[in-house]
Amino acid sequence: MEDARIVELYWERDERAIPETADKYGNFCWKIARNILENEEDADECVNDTYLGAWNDMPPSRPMFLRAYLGKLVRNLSINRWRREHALKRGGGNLTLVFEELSEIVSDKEQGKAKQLDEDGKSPVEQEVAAKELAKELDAFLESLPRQKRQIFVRRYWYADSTSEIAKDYGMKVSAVSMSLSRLREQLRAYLLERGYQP
Amino acid sequence: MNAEFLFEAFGEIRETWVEEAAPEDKERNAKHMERTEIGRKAETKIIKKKNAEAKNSGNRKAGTKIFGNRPSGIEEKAALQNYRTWRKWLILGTCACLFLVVGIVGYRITHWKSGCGQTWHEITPCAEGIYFTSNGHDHRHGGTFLWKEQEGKLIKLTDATGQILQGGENTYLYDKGKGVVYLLESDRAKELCKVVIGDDAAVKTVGEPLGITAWEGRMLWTQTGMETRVLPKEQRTVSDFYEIVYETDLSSGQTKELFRTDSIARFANQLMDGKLYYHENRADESGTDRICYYDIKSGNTECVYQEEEDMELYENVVFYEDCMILHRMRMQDGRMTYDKGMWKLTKDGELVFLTRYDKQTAAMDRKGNHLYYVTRFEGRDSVVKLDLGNGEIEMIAPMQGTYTELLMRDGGFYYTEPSYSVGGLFYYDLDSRRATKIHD
Repeated sequence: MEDARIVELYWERDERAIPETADKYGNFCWKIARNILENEEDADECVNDTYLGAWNDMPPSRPMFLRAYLGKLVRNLSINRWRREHALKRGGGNLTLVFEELSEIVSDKEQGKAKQLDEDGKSPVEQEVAAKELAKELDAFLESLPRQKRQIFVRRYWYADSTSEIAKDYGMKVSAVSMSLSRLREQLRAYLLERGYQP
Repeated sequence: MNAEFLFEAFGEIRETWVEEAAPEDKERNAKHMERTEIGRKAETKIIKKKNAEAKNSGNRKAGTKIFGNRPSGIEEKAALQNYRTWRKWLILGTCACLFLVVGIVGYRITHWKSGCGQTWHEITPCAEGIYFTSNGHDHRHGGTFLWKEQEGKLIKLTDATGQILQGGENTYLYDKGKGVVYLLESDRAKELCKVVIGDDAAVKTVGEPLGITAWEGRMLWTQTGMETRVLPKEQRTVSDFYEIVYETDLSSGQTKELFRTDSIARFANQLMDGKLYYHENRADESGTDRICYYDIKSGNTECVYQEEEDMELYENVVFYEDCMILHRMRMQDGRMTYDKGMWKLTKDGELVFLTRYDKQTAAMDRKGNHLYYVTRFEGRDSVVKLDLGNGEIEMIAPMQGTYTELLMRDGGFYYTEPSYSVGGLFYYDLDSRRATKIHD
């Protein structure tokens, strides 16, 4: 079924929207959730919550890209769940690896900023605004990249795909993907530094 | 937590990047039943929620009447009362809706402003005027629109039935001689693409739709008389990553595969000496970048430049008669080179000029023997004119913000400013030295 039709089903409050979504994008969502949570049952639950979230959000939302929209929903839900479950235990896992890689990029100032936002107990809205500002810079950075590099970067840091999976999909060696990601992280760090993300 | 913040910020990037990088759903069929099961679970959850909502809404009483039980007189009276109340509210609601609709339509008619929130990204001069494309939404559509400037106004192009023409980035081209716009139109649902010709008065489809999956349409170049077009299509499999270039005869509508690249490629929107140039970024472990060309006559492909190890990647490749300009990077061993943010033009081995170029904006246009681009000139962000013959640079206008596109005209230039708050499409008049916003 076409995406537009599925969205229409949501708008018409037609419950067929859910199985249609599940049929078309269930696995897509599930993979994102599993990448982040590394637990199939948790991933299942997150995907269920994603459908529910979509049902509650449409209307009023009318996403132009249904797949990306659902991906974003499941990503956010999975991150929240991951946080809850990792509040006490730390270390290990794919997402931890992703965070370790990303920590190479985040400058001191940005670290301080993010930390301050937490420590001062500033509202989640303020954090969201800061994240959106940063996302604009990320957009500009991504725009400057060649398509394949951009895709690899997004696959790793948006979809939290493993390097081996990326390598498989792009017909590259894992080491080449890692090297490519490492260079891109360096580029992004330099890019953010240029834009005042460091004292 | 710091990296988490960045990871979270990643979640806010444009949906187009997410869509573009979406992994192939190879396991979809295998997981079909499982996922449908998940869907059923969620469906049950929603039905439960809906029931709970209905229960709390107060209408449950009438809605849950057991059919077959004869209602009592009190119940009938209550039902009648309920019906009357509903009827009253229904009439009031309908009136309010009508009022609202009339108000909105009236407002739209009196304050008509299409294309709100557009991101302008293409400006193309044409024999009859100037064509623009924009990304954005209006109140009915979203996507890439094609516009034409007519008597100082921008008009969204439509087909003969009044349907707004929509394509994607780089999916249109124009015929200077005929003043005709060719638009590559897609039908993502059916995974087809076709070419339509629009000359404002009529639009017709040329050629059979290509039944190809995961295509990424992009108009490239035309041969003399606009008889052919080339459409590259990115094809990705597990072990390969390449683009297929199709050629369509616009007269007969016949389409055939011209050639395919070894790897992902970026094509210049120009054809030089019967050669189609492109930049190739190899998807293998070497990840090398090369400039290659396909010779139409001989059908041979040759790579004329192999990048060095530390070379940056090419972006927005523009080829000119005597040099290649590759935004964001230094380039081949031609006359003009770009390295570490500096343009360098040499003639007969001697340095003619050295200047900065803002690699982030990449706004550039060429008119005659002059190259116009944005740069920091004498301590100020400016639009400058570079004489390609002698290398002289002249500042022609101060920059007001970030420009992403430049289009030079005789008395001024168009530029795009991508800012969400103050951005839009502008025209800068060189005589009055004033910028006028043409559209948001």
